[in-house]
Amino acid sequence: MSNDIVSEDRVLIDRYVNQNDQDAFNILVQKYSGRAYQIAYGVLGNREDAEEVAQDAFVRIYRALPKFRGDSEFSTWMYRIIINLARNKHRWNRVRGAGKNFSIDAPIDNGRGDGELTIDLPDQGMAPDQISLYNELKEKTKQAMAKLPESYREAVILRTVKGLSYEEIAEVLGCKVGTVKSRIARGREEIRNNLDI
Amino acid sequence: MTSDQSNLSLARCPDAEELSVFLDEPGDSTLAAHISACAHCQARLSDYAQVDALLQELSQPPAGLALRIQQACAAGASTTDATSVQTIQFNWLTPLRYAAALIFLLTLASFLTWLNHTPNSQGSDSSLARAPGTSQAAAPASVATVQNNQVGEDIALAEQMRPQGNIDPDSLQNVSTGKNAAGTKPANQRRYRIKPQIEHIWLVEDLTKSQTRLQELSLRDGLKLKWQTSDNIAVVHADLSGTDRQLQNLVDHLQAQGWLLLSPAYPQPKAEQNAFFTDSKIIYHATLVQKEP
Repeated sequence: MSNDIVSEDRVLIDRYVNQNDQDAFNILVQKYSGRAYQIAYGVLGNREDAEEVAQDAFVRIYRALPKFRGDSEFSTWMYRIIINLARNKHRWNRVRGAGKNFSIDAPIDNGRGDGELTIDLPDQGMAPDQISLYNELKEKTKQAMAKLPESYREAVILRTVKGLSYEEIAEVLGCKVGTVKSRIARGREEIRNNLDI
Repeated sequence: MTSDQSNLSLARCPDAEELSVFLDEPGDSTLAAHISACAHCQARLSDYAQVDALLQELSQPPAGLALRIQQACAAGASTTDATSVQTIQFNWLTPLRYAAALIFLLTLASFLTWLNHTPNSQGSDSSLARAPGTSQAAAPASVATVQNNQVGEDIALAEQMRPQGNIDPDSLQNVSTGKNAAGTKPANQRRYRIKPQIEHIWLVEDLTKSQTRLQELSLRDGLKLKWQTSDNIAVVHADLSGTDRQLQNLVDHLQAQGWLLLSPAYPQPKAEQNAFFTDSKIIYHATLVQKEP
């Protein structure tokens, strides 16, 4: 399965680089943009920032792909770019003393005071009080994630969202497998403690 | 594995890391046997799984993301702020480097002036050649000129240094003294370009009213505005974008509202005649700080 995915990526890259096949690049975007967004969101905790980072990463990849040597898998290379851009953005937000952007074009608050303009659509199978509890739990998870050290957050998000193996996460983050295991475990445990579940 | 070893493993609950690894790679039969018999570990493992599920739920990508990314790539230009983050970070340090270099040069100039001062040069012209210690008393007009300057005005280096006695008297021959000392525009004043990224800190009387005013002015002048939340209730951050000419106009209007600009970066209020406009797009980060009562 993994080998099939690798070879498929290589074929697509080859079509894009050598034949200037834009459709091939678009397939890569279709395939990986969601994961890129999810990783950026995990690091940043903000939808708008996450989309900016995902978009910026792909624009960079679009330009740099002809120079991609294939030493690592395309996905690993892409995750590294995403993580680095998200880190930069997160640090910049921290320096600026602000974490969340919202536009005056849509100045409707969601009532949670987090500046995000999201509307949670209720699950038809949940009672109103369950929906409320579930939303509360999601909000707490978000806050707990934001409290995690950066290194824990990155490892946790790469594991839980993308389902990368420990070895792959170690390659993306540039650390040892044992360190990855430890960071993921501590991250999960800290979130769990913050959630009181 | 012997039954004794198996019993030992079952006797204690695995730690967080062992459980977390088991959740990701459930291959350890000894651990599996323990978990199947231990309600505490089952609950903990279930909690970890719930955390994973919540994280996945939270980070669902928005609709149309891939299409927007494809369009951005096809446009061939990065339109995201994330690109500019690195630029901003670089620019952030640049003024500090300049400030450090300026301090070094001023210190060096002071030292050289002190070394070169001789009784003959001090006595040659009482209005120009003064000992550093007596300069302020002897040049009240110049001092007043400097003190009245708003922060960030384009004051020529010689203009700042002269009243402090930091320049060799001979070098004053190259500096216009009469008009500058009277507070008029220096003859060789440079025009400035507004940088692509500007950060300004404004001191305001009423934060809420000021936000409303800034929003009104932005809408009126066609500037894009984004607010950013802040942990400090006395501080608000806003990101604006528009042309250099629009931002000069905005800064003038903000000062007219009674806001006090604390930052030295251009555009400065009422300095339009010194600006060199190119109608280029500028990202303007404004921080509004509530005055203390």
